[in-house]
Amino acid sequence: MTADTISPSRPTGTALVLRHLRRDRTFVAGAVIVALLVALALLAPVIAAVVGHGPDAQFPDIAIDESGIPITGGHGFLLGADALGRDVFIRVLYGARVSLVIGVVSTTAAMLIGVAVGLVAGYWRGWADAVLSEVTNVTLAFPMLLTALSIAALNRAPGGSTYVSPPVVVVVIISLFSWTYFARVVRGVVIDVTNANYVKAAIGAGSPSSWIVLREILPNTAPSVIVYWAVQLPTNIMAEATLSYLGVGIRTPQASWGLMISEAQTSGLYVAQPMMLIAPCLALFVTVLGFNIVSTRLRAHLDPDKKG
Amino acid sequence: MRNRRTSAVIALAAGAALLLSACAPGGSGGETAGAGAQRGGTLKIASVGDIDRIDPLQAYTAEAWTVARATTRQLVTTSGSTESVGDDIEIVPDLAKSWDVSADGLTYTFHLRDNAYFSGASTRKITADDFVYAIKRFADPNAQVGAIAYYNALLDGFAEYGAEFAKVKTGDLTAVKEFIDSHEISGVTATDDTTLVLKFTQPANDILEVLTLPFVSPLPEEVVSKYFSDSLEFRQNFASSGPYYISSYSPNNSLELKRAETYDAAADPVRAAYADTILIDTTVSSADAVAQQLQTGEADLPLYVRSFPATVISQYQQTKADYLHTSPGGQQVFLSINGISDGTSQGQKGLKELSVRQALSYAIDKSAVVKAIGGSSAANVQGEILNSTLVGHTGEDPYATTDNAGDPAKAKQLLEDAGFAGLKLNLAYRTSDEFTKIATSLQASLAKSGITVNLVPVPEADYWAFLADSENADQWDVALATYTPDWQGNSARQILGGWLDSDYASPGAVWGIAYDNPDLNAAVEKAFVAKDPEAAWQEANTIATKDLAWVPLLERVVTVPTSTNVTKWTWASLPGGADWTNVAVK
Repeated sequence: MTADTISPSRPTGTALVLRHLRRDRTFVAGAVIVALLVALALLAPVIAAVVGHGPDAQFPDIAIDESGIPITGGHGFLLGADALGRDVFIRVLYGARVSLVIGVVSTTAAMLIGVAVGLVAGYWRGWADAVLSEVTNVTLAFPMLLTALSIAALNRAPGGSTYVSPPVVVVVIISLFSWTYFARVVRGVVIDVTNANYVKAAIGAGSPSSWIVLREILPNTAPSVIVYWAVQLPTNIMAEATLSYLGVGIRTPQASWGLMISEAQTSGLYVAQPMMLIAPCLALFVTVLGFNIVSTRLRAHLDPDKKG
Repeated sequence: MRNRRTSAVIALAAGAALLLSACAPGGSGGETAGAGAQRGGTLKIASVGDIDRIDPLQAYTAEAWTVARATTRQLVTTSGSTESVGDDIEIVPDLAKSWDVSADGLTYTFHLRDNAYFSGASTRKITADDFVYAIKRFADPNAQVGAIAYYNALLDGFAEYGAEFAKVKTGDLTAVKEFIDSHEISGVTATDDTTLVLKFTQPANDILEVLTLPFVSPLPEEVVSKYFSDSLEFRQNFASSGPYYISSYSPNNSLELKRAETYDAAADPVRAAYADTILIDTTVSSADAVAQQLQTGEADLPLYVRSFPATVISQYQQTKADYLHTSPGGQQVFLSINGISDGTSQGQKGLKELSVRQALSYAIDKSAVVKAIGGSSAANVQGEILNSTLVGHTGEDPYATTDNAGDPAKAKQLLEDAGFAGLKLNLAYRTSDEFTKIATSLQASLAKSGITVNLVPVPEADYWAFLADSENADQWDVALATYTPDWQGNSARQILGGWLDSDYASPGAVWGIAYDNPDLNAAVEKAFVAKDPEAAWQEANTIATKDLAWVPLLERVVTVPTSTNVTKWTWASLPGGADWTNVAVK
């Protein structure tokens, strides 16, 4: 019924896991990075209000010179300005909000789809397993970027607007391409758990399948699912940045790290104002690093198949 | 309208120019091309993409005309200028050595040189029939000439000929040839090998300017009639009338031009043709990559670069100022006002009121827009319909604001008085990096006047058609639009006549513009036939500018960095950039 059912040598109980995590310095370092990131993202409007620069506010008179080159600092611009005289620091903070929201929502959506598919395929097996496994394989065979570009093209409504809001499209695309990992992991765990004696006993006692799946099997998938959620999150944050960089995701003037990197490159202004490029790249790097550290250590402590 | 005396003077001037050309260093007999310049060498061009059109019938972009300057000649042309794009407006003889104009200004008789030859796919002598054939192709239903409106309006019998040609089945080269061989345009006649007579429907003071466009280039029928316009076969079998012929062409890879062995510089008073070879690499990926090639000397000149990164321009200004060439006279960027809507939205209702258009103009921080695309080296603020290099430009902005930064208070007041406070506008723009920046800049500056702008991005390839389609009229109120004059100087015909005069303009066909102002129409009519049209064009320009037929934003500065190998820099006004036939390499 819990992780120790599968691996009795693993620590039992949430408190014990938390104690182990607290003692894990690498995990703590990753958690601090993530916590700081989340805090900065949440406080972005407050910081913007204090600085006096909204994320889309333009200050061409003080932040761009006569040659059209943005300042690298000063006038309250901690990381300088971009081509339109917007505060790079503030936009990086707002970009964190976009990355986190899209990353968390898309990863969670992928998790829900993947867990549902994995449970059905792993418990009922037979034709349901065959069909869902094939669907999983087919999905894995699709190239994500090409499909994303195609979906973005289909989303173009007459008049240059879109049928569906671009952030929603990004969430859908990322979810569609990341649920398969959850499905495969969950299916494997479910097959293992279904062979456990207590599940066989529940089946023999005539318990309804839904009860067995939800009460006996689903909780056993939790450690693996949590680990894979944490592993998948930084990947999906990268995916959001990639899609925005390619012009498929977030649209101007909204701040997104991928869009900021794209704007810096296409304008070529990063040569004179390096922070236009460095700041969003660094933010993306630190974010992915933080989540990767956390997920790796979580995996070490929680994943029944992985030794830390 | 020119008369015999005028053309005689021009012919005399041309003769003098020819003489000077023959004596000048780098002329037909010279070996050097001025300071450090040698006749010969290879002029290397870094191009972001392939040449869009090589057939002069369809070539209608600055870049295609840059190539056409080297591969085609016309009856008349401009000589190039070392000063600026706008300075290159004097009409000089080209393949026509002189011409006569009838007293009523309706008949032009061109006397052609008898020592000019094709090169490339044909090496025979160029005759008046080759012009007749080229003009007959204009109405080919398979591929019409880029600016057919000029010839429909001006050439006698052209519209009737075109109506008949339209009945010919497309996709059948034999049918096209049969039609051309069996039909004549009453206003286009070759009376002998060296005499071409053109008859016009109305006198016009810009007929010669229209004839400088590369559309009117001679072509040998025996070669051209075998191929569809601008097809790969056409490009690989191009018969050049200019100093250079196509020696090799590989799509999306390279285009090599070589100076024709038969080219007689004495028969061309305009093009010095210093370089032996012009090699165009069409595989360069971006403006940034082009800039790097120019800076390292891997390439000498750019092509298909709308604007260079501000940092590149800044570097050139600091370290290689002699190799950075700038000139006013570039594209105008303006806000087109939706004229094809039925005015149901608040924005569209409002924009029908002059005071709301004035508020819009006052609300815009034009200096911010200029800075967004690269500052003063990239563009100047524009406050009137006609560009600074055009006849009719007044230099007066009726809605000027301090430092061109906009006047939000005045804009707000005007909107309140008109009952449109809190105006909401849908702004359409093409999704290039540069226009995205302009649109975003406008959104921010209009917000200061309480105008909420909803951005409507449209893919670049669809943009023109999107604005012209009345089915989209309810989706946008204002749109970022542009114009580049077909020629510099006396070219207000295209803008004020072709786009804004409701007696001629097709409503909505260009950028969704459907402007109707009887005062403007009357002023344009006066300008069309005036001997000296400047005052009349100024009057028309002032009417349209004050009435805000559109909201002018900026006029681009043409900025061309080159490698340090380039000498004898020369502007060509039609392409609005380097004159490949007059620059040289060290």
